[in-house]
Amino acid sequence: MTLGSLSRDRWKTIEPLLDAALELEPAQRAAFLDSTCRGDTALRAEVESLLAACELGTSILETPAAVTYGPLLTEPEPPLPQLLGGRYRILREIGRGGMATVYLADDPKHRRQVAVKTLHAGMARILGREQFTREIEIAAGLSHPHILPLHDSGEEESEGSDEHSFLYFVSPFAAGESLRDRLRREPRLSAAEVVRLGREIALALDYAHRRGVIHLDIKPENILLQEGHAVIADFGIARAVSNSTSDDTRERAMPILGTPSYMSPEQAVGARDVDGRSDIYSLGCVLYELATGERPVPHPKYGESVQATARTSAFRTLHKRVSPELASVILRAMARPKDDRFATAGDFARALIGASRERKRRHWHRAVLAVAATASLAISLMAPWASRHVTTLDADLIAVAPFDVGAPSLAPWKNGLVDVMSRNLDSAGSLRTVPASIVIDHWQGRADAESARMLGQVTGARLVLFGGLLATGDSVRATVSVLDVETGRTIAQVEHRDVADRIDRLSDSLSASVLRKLQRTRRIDAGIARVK
Amino acid sequence: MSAMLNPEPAIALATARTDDRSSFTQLLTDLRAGRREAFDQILPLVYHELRQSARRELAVRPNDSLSTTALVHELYLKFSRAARADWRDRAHFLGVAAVAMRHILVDRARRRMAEKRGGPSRHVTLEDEIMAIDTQAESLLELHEALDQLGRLDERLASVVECRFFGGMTEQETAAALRIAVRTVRRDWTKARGLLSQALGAGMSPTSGLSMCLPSHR
Repeated sequence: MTLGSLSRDRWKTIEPLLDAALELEPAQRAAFLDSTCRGDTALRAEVESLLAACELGTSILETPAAVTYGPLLTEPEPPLPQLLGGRYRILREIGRGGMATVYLADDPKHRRQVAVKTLHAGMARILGREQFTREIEIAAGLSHPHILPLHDSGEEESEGSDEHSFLYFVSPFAAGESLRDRLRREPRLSAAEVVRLGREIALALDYAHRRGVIHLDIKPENILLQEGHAVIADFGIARAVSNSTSDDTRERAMPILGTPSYMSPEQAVGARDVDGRSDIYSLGCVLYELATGERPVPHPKYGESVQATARTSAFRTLHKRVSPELASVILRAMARPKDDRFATAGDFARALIGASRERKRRHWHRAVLAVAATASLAISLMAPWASRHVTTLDADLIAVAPFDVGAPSLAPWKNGLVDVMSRNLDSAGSLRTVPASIVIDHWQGRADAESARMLGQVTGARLVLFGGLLATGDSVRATVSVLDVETGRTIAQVEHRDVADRIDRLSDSLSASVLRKLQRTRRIDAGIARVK
Repeated sequence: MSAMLNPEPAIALATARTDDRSSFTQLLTDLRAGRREAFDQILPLVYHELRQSARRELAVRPNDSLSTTALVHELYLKFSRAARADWRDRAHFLGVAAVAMRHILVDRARRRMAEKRGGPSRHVTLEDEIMAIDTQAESLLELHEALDQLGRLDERLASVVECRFFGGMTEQETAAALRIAVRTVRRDWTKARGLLSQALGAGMSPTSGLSMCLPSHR
């Protein structure tokens, strides 16, 4: 007797017995049925079988339908054309992520292999394409040694289906591993590695943030390692997606992108005013994981980020693995209120370096030094440019001097270029730059070799870049020299010209040329070839 | 509540408008008062919106499991903002969402089965992934049929299953939505699952995937 053959009338007879029996302890049920069924063996058999089924039934339907059957709602992927954009020949699938599938493809035009990412059909459908394309273009404009460049993007109609089309983007195929792969090999990285990689990532973030591009999905999977250096992948993709979808008149909630473990609290609640500090938070979480081998919150529930109690234990875990200075830098990045984090990723990068220097010094003067109260204090105490009496020059340190400008319209670029070029040059190979604020504080005189030498002496930078901007009609000509303060020789000289409203591009060209020249005299990693 | 289900849920989508505030507020009030027409009117709206948000969630996070509770809560906030709803409306709203979720999943499973019979073969998607989804579709449709039979036997038992299983609702929420005692919900849930496991178990061999599709996580 099962559902289909059970009549309503029969059920009316059975149900009260079943209810009553269910109230009893199993051991008492037989006696109860003896007395109530009174020889109606069929009835008794039915009730007993149902009782048994009720016991068994407690194991079914416990998990909500949306979890058990949720996959039914996913869109099947339509067939991918063999040739994307008339150019990229798909070879094979190499990965599948939350939003996209990655394929290895041939780009015969440039005789290279590329990684083509196609957004999942369901994702593509909820996007506004124009907005998506616009954001992708902004991301494609990023050019930084620690950012994986975006070669191309486009939309491709699916074969035999007008409902589906593919949004795709094309990046260089990086044969190296991701930070996640590395973490699988090595559960924890040394503090020095954490600082080095953290700084590279922070500088790349800083560069992008200054151009108004936020990543929104910084996690070990999205950090690739190329010749040991960090390269951020998928820049602007998450942002493009969230902007596209928030642009909706039906006031629907913006989908919350990102990965819960690394997502900032404001991003997790779908706040609209998410800024670069959200990436700083995520990077903090990544560095925490690199240092400790654990995620700050192993399995946060959807929509929840690091809670206060978890934070306390996170603090303790981190302190076991790294110096108090580095721990406080990482935890500051992971502060829940965004105002408590570093204001910029550049500040974060400098604090990381400051913390590692502090550590070295603590080894030498363990007895002398009390724990530095904050990371920023650590910087001001320890950075070589804090002292007027630098005796040794740091061969890896370059100071970018304020530019001489030949027209009032160029005045903002006097110090502006210090900032931009310092960041461009920073982290190319072992090269580091003196923070712009320090340079500006210590700069005196005109952009000439003598002032440059003084700047090097004060800041401890063996290399000093100085130069000027001249306006000629609609264009601007920039000349730049790099002085080796120790030998007094000029080791690089470059000149570039561009239209007056593209000083940003001009500064990128200058940086790239300078790096190319420096490459001849010192080892700078291949990464710089990507600075265009 | 299950008697209110359309046997073939050809729900007129997009015909109802969410921007008509006063009528929506009225709908929620009627729903609370237990008026069946209100339920029938509100179901298509919830169906449409819930399906949209479920798809969006899955598109964004395909590797995570859906949380009906989160989806429905988001939806309710949106509806209640539009309607200046009373907090007491929430339980009734959840009840509607549970039924909508059942329709959504069943419609989707039917489409899957239809595609499987006549549809084009796909590449790119992993084969075993398709298998698993087809098995899911079959098992859901079987459950759906059994639940219809259960509804014919005892409407309330089927409603409890809708709320608890399809709506992911707690005992308390189910009790409020169905206007019955929590104790009754608990008992009905036990009986309903007993009857269902008997029905589903009877028609299937032990290896046909039922146990896989009705997971026993507790």
